[in-house]
Amino acid sequence: MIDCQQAFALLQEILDKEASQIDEKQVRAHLEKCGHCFEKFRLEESIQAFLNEKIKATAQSDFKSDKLESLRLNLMDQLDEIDSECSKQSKSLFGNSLKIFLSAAALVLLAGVWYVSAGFFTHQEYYIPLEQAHWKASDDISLYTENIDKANYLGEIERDLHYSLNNSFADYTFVGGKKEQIMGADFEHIVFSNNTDYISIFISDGDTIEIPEELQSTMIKNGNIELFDHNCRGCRLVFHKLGSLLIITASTNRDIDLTKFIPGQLTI
Amino acid sequence: MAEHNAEALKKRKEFEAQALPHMDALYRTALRMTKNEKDAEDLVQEAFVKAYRFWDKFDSGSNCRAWLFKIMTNIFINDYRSKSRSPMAINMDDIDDNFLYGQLAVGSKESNPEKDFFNKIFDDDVKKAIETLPDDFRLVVILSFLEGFSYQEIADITDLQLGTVKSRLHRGRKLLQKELFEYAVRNGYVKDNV
Repeated sequence: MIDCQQAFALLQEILDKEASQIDEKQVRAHLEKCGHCFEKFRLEESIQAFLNEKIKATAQSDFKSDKLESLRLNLMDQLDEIDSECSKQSKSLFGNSLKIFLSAAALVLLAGVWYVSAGFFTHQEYYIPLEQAHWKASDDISLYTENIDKANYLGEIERDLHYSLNNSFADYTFVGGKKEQIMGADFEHIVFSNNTDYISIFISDGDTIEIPEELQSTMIKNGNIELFDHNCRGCRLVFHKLGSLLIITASTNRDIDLTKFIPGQLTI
Repeated sequence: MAEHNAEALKKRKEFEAQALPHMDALYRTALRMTKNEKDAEDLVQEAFVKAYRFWDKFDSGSNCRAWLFKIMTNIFINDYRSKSRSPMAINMDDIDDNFLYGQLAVGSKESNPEKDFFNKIFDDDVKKAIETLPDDFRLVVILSFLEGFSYQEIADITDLQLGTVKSRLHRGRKLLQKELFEYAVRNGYVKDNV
């Protein structure tokens, strides 16, 4: 026979329907003999039933079936894109889990950048949808590592943009990079990694791109650098305005403080 | 190439048949996790795209719904959860295990003292109370109360220890009860104990 304290210890399991048959039987037997526990369990079970019902009912009433249908259609488009990608690439790519991880990360990252570009830069006439321009290229990190001479690459950036990039920052090291067109402007897309997370850095001669008004309120001054912090679609983005340069740092890990991640400095 | 296409087609068909029917459940939960429609839609999309890319890793004999929830929860925890609220920041000491019981039952002459209480809680209050829960608690509460996952399934989905799932569920329930009591009082609930 169990006592009040033992019965009470099993209350949660009973409410969550996780108690074993033996435990449940013993508790019920105790409740028959103890009025205080009976009332307590009755009340708790009644509240739990009320909660479960209300939570389900409110979740259902929030639910818009047309929204679900558009979600489904959207997803179909994305799956079509993945399918056409796969049929063009060799199958061996998908045997490699690292590459799958990277492609998933790149997908989310680009969705985020695309959202910002779509949401904030649509008024700019040179807007190019990123999901078309860079989808495939960014699925595979080797495109950022294979065709560059690392030392020369950073040297070129320094010569062209007068910006000297660090080789490493905290535990992140320079992995690779390549030229890309984003929002109609030329960007260097540089990738840093600490083996777990990837940080993408986009640098452009910012004369062609203005910081959107919507981001102005997020400005933080850090010396001569203006930072604009932004979270979207699973991505954290920080826009740096430094002289005429626009630098965007982006990561899918929102816990990384990108406002502290200043990848280099001006050389003039 | 033709062989590859046939295989891709088979994968797509399988995915559509097994994974897609769970979209409403994932969306419903995503709404409560992220607390806004836009993020919820993005979260569901990301989860399904990821699931499709990893479809060959899915063990067809296992529970597809739980697998999809695991993928979505993972993305939510990594990318969407607000950092500012950690479970440690909540002072649990001021929540008595018997809080609601004490408020409703003790000294009441009614045989069903909770009836008046329930009448003073509106659907919107329940939604608000859930959304007020800190992310870590809200997550297990939704998975349990809304989706009916077992302790073990929630532990698998969230990568938490079974004991942690239980204690978060326990605390989440108490926080929820306390919050709802406050709403009920605000809506005019008066205890009949005179």
